Amino acid sequence: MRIAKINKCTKLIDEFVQRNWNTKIPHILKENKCMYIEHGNKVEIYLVQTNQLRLLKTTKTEELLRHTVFAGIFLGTYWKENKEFIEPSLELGYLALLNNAKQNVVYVNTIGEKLFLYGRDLFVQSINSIIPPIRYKSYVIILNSNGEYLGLGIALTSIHSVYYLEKLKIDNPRFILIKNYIDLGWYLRHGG
Amino acid sequence: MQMDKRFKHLDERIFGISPTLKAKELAERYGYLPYMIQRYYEMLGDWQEVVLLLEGNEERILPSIRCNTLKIKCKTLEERLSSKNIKIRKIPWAPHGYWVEHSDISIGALHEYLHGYYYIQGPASMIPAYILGPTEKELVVDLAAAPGGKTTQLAQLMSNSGTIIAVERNRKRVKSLISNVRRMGVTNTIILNTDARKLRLYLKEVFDKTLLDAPCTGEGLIPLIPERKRSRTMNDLKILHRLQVELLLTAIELTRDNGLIVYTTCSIAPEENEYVLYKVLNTVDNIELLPISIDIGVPGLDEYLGINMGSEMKLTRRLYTYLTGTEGFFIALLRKR
Repeated sequence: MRIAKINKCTKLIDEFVQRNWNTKIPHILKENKCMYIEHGNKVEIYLVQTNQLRLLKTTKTEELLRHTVFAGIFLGTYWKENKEFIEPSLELGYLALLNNAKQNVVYVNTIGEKLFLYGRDLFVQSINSIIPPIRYKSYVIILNSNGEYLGLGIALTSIHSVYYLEKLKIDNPRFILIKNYIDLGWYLRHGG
Repeated sequence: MQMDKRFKHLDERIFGISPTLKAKELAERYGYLPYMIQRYYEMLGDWQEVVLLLEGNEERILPSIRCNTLKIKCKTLEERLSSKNIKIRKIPWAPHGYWVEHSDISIGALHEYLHGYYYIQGPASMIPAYILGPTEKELVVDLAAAPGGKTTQLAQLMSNSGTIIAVERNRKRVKSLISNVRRMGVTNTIILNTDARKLRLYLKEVFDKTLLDAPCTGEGLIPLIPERKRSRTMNDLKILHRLQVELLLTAIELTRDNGLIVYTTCSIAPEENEYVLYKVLNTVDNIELLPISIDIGVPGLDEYLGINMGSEMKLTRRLYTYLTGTEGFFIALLRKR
């Protein structure tokens, strides 16, 4: 059964953003509210603007929430039994990028961009530059050479400096550095 | 139910139309159901004009896109598409619209599409949001929202401020609505998966502006989907007509006093357009038709099958493919008094 609730935004999101991208978004989370849509154990989190809440207060909130399937910005999903494990949405990565992500950011070349948007993983040779460190198993923001957001990947190794990246490119150019987690091609492949 | 009785004799005339020999001949030649051709004659009053309409439906309509200023400047999009050898031309009546005159690649597979820099949208279907003209602080409802072309356009015109309630009854179509809202970077929208008619139970007289792009036969889309020449019977038309009347009455209930409503369909059928308005205008007394500021198409029908629909119906607009080069469309702007 599906249940939607509106509440303060969980600090789990802020912690997740800080852990992965070394930046904070508490001002965004404080200024707005979050909507939680529960599907059994799975909980979807949405960031809702305060002026949207004005509407909810003037109407029968419960009726409105009963039929709500999406609101504002989709941030991600967590499971009740393991709240630490958040599955971030495309939008959460973008939000972190707009708020000066300071690590786990990768710029890819044209070939890497094409491959990534087709849902493929990234070889180290596809990577132009990074904002280090890239931490093993972290979520990595993927950008093209123009700095446009392409999606999120998961780092398969740690890279602490640009020097190490360049060395890896020479030693093992076909090494898969980033596993595709979600990319903009999702809209075509799964968006309906 | 009471309304059904009041309009029963008119319904019988409108939905009981039978095709003449000439209509049957043209239907055979162009692959339509005969009742459709007879209606085209009743609408246009001239068989030569009917042939022009049918010929127009055989022509290819240029694809078109709407630049999404929530994510990119239109000038930048123009330059990016041009660098990929995609030839576009501005649509005169749509500030963010472009015809796509040439593209080697499918315009639904470009990276710019994935980035949400544009939406593939028919030129006629861009008009309703401009006519409704939502502003940044307003509360707007889109009553049949999927797949999201008009919802995302409303959000663009509102600069992602205010609030849009986008309603879609069909659960499968909600998926594409959500996907498009996300792709286009829309953040001011709440999506409800419900029958829009139920909203009158809890959202009465709340909205500043209401968009009703009503579910319809899609008779205006024949140039794009030729199967529509034979896929909708008169009975389908009757069922949709009833739904359209109910939805427009709902739209009026949801809109606050002095609020605006745009009623639109991608159909050229009078049964789905002027006759819906005729019934509604003769049922409630707090609604009036307003002129439409974009000069395109021809005025709506003030008479059909000998029924006087009222001279105010001329304020609505009909778009025929053979006259405008767009998909067939109908647009009406109403104000709640």
